[in-house]
Amino acid sequence: MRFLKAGIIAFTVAFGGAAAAHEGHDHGAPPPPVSTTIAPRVEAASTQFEAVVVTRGAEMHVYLDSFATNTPVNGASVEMDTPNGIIVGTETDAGIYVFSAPWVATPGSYDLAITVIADAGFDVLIGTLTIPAAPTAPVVEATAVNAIAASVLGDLSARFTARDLSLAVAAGLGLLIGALGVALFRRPRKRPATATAIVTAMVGALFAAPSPGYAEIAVANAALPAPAAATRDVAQRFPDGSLFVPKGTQRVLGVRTLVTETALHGRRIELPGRIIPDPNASGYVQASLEGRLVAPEGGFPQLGSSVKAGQIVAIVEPTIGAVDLADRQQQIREIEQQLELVSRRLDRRKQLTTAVARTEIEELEIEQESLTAQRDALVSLTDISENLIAPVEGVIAAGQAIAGQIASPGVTVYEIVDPGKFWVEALSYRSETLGDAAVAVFADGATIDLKYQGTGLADQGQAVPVRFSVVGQAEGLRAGQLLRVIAATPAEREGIVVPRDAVLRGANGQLVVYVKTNAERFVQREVRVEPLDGDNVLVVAGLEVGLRVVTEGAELLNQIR
Amino acid sequence: MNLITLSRRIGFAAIGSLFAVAALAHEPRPGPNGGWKVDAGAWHAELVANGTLTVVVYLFDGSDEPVSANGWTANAILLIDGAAQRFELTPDADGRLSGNSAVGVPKDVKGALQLVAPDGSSVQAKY
Repeated sequence: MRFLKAGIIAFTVAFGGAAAAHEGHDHGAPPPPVSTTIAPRVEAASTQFEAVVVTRGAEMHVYLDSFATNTPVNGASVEMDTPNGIIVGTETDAGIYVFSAPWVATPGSYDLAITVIADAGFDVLIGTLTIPAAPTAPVVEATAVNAIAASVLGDLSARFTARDLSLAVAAGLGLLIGALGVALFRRPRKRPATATAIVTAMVGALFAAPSPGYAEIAVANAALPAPAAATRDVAQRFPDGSLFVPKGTQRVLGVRTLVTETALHGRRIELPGRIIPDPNASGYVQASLEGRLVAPEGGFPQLGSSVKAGQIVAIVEPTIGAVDLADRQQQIREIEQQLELVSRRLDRRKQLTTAVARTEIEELEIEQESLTAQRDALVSLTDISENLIAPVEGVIAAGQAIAGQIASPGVTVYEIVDPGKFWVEALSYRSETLGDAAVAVFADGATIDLKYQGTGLADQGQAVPVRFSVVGQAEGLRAGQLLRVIAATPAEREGIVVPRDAVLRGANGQLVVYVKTNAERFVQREVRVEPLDGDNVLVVAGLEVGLRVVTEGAELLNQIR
Repeated sequence: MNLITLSRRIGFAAIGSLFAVAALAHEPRPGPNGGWKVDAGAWHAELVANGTLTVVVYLFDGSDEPVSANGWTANAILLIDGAAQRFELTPDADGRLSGNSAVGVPKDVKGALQLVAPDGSSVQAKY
């Protein structure tokens, strides 16, 4: 609380003087930045070329671009017919031709005819360069500077001009007192008397002898001339949302355009989808009986390791409960007992072969064999293990086997996937007839081609699953990846194709594109788009034919404030 | 009006004037004498060429009424076979501007005319 009070005191003291200066002035909204520093320029265009002539001191710089694509035109021969004769340009940078013209410093209106002979064609561009009268520019500049200064600081400038020292002294004192007040209240109250004394002494000293040095510095700062009206072309946004972007900035941002044209395209729909393993190239490894997992020769295959079809990936040793084991041993004992009895009887009968019927001996022999087989079967039952075999060739995509782990019937021990074969399962919420070709678009914009395989008929969460196979080698895919599927329908749709990157989300959430109206002017147009393919969208409303839409650098243009 | 508003308006006017020139469209259209007619400032100029060396320019006012070329002069910059041909056009007896190129000028030639009116003002026409 004390800090707060101290802060308020410091603030009030420091800014009291300035606040008083505001009285009686109507500020209104803060003025938008108005650039008066744009160099005089003229633009000229033909169907092939677009030129912007910018004056730079005693030189004219001609930015020459392709009209349709905004690509700089390099290696052209550029001449200019001016009222003062024909001058020849020198290409200093890609697509920038510099003309020496000392007369452009003189205000006036100059008709220019720019003859361009380039590989792409030749043309004559015309324009009139107007150099504003010299005296007016500084007046406008000075007026603007003074007006802002006067409105913000009130009569401060007048005071500065009159070298009114009281203002600077008051401001300096206010700051100092405020700072000291804060320091005082923040100090531990060990020696309040000392601190107060120091403050009092310093304030007293300041009032007693106001330092002329402060005032001189302040006046000197205020008296510094406004920065010279440097011809620095700065991109800016106008209140109506349109942009002025000098050619130099366009080159830096790599702005490219295309001329819109309408065409018929197959209508596409967008479906949410995910990657699934190819059903014919993937498989599960599951145990059919309960038992402990035992590593095969060479150990368990780990995630990502390749396995061959038929390879043993794990062994299940069936577990037998204690009761089962006791039952089984009891059975074995009983059978062994019977077997012993049968064997002895058989031995006795064999010694009395003359008195015993042959059939009786044979019956006993059969019984002995049967009992022996039963005993062997029961004994071997404790030793049955199941080899788990990879059903397909591929890579271990999921699953973890650990020695000793109990495997249950139906539980997946391993999932094996062929990394080169994936499918995509999409959900269609409307029953649409789909064409053969489709494209999958990942979150990062990467695309893969798909081939339609079939549509399920059973609803799955109010949607039907639609399956596509990935065309060609699918590198870097993994099962479960989410993506958007753009699938073709037999219907056709008319619209203007623009790259996906050309469409931006406006400040109000609407989709917009930037249209180049002049060589250095861009305006936003609201559009309605429909999916077309992975890289392009179809603008079905908001654009006409023959406009120049920004295809590259639109996101960067959108950053200009 | 306070000074801020004034300076803002001056600023916008200055920037707006920079674009005003480029906003004019010079769409060529067929003229009555078999050439291409385009806008040239407040006037319209029809350039007639027929493959010969001679180039004739007919002048019209803003409402397409013929204007005598007396007192006018013009400088033609025509691109023929990838090279710029420059020559003067002067008024002839029929109230037209005519001049001779060094090479034959095809009908659909690309180029520009820099016209100087009798009052000394200059306009340009692009073909």
